[in-house]
Amino acid sequence: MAGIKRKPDHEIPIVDENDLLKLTCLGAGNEVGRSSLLLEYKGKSILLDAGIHPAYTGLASLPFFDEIDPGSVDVLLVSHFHLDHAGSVPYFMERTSFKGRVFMTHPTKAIYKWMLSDYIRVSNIGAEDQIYNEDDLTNSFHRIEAVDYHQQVEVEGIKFTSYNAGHVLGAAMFLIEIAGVKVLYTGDYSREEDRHLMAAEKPEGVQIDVLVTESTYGVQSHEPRLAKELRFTSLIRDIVTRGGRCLMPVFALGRAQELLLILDEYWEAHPELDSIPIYYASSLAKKCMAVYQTYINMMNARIRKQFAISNPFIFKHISNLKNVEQFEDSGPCVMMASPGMLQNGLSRELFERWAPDKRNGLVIAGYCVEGTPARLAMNNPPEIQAMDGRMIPLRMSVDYISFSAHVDFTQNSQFIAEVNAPHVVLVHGEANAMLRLKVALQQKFADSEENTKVYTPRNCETLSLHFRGEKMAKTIGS
Amino acid sequence: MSVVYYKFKAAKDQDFDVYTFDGTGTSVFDLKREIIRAKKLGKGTDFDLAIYNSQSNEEYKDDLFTIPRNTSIIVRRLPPSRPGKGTAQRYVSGAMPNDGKGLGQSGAGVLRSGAPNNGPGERFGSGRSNVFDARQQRMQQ
Ligand SMILES: [Zn+2]
Ligand SMILES: [Zn+2]
Repeated sequence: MAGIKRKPDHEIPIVDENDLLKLTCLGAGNEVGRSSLLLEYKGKSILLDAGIHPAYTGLASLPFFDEIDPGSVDVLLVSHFHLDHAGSVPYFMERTSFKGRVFMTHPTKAIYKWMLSDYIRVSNIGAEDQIYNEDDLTNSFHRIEAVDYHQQVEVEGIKFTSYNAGHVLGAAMFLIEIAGVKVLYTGDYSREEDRHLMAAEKPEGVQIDVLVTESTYGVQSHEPRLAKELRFTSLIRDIVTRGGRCLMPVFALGRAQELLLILDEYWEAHPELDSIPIYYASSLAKKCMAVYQTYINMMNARIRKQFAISNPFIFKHISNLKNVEQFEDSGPCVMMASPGMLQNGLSRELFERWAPDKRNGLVIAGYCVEGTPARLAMNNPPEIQAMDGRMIPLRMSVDYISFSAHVDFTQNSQFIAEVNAPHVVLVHGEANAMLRLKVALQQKFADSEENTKVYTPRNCETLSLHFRGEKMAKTIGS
Repeated sequence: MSVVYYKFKAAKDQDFDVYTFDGTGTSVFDLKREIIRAKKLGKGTDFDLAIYNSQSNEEYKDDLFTIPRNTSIIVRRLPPSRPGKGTAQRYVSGAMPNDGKGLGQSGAGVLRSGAPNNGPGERFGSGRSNVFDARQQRMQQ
């Protein structure tokens, strides 16, 4: 049944504070990184994600938590295990006055523990640099409650349900309902099925009032999957056949598993490449493989079918590197190493080592946040700065083929249209990408009957939406 | 030796750090610089830093103001008023102190520094909030 056309919104000076739904980005407002969004309505308070910013370290990488009173937050919902969404959860739970409950899906919780333990180890050299320690992580882990997709949970008047978001194993969208008002937070999501994950679903049979969606890719369109995979495999083939080493910095978990599936299949089909090793240097991934195997039922039909025959996550052509010492750097190879944006660690070490040789190639396969070394390398500067300050010539080839499982403009705008919420809030995008997306969406909606509002709040800027109480709506509604 | 105590607003109540110095008080400038150094907040280009008296909640905007010893301070990290131009970098680079009013008791120093004269704390109010009417007029079944 079609509703009455919505009246245009207008600013109203005096409203009952209790009828205001407030949204405040503590991070990911006109940026990518440190996702954290505070949602307040009818005296309830929910924090969506608590990430860190990959371009900064220590306390400076946290969301702007000083803006709020953590003690008044009832619930923290974490969309997925990536650091830009979960990296500051231990800090928020253990180092602030927060006393509320924390929820994430089962696989997210299982991987959270490994992911953050690795983060503590890699990123914090001196103990005093740590924003939290191993004990905080363990304590937080025991307090986190795990949920299933589609399981409705109620916490003192706050109802929420998680939905499959694609993106990475266990990634969730959250549908939150307070006093009849429904907010959908997409987290990072993808509407395209790949080799192992299902596409994100759209909650059915609910009218959503506020949609908070990611805008990482703004108005860009993804290359079709097959064309992209072909470009990817031929590029890698070119690098190794010219005698070069191919470095692929990756997030240890998430896209890495998809790339491994592609490479393993390609090597299987090309016996002439047999002598060229593919290394995957991640003890973290190895630990988490058990989690991937446990939750195979949350992946798509294709991989479940494969699993019935043999475990697709046991790769034929890929060797796990336990440590760098074990690695004999003696000729062409493919090396997948973390971290994904070359901030530090093994990927950075190899980047500095291999950069001066023009036979070598750097293949960036995921989204890189502004200000990170990988993003700088994408501009092909003549030199790069090493960790120790030296300048190193950058002669290796640098290519960017994005496999990150985020919606592109086509997927995002279609999803936004299908959800058909009167208020659309854009987060998780750089200012320019976000602005272009906003303009494109406004143009799209201008032609339709709907009066959809699109917002792009900055960090710490509170967006207040006025919803009348249900009783009032009955009296005033025409 | 004298001390002032400080903690980030979001941090637990008992988590106060101590800044030790000589004399009966510390300037706001020195304290902010010390917080950024001790807490490894980096170059300071990405944020503004505001500090408040923990009892009165009054913001110390004037870099030249002297905070008496034994005061407890609340620290707030805020988004920069202009992206990439966080005012916190002033304390890292050691540029001229800003008195928070643009003129200052000493006058000259501020004009030379060319620092922005709006203290970050001015955002504490509702100036950046927008209220929209989200009323819905769907037909009731
Ligand atoms: Zn993600
Ligand atoms: Zn993200």
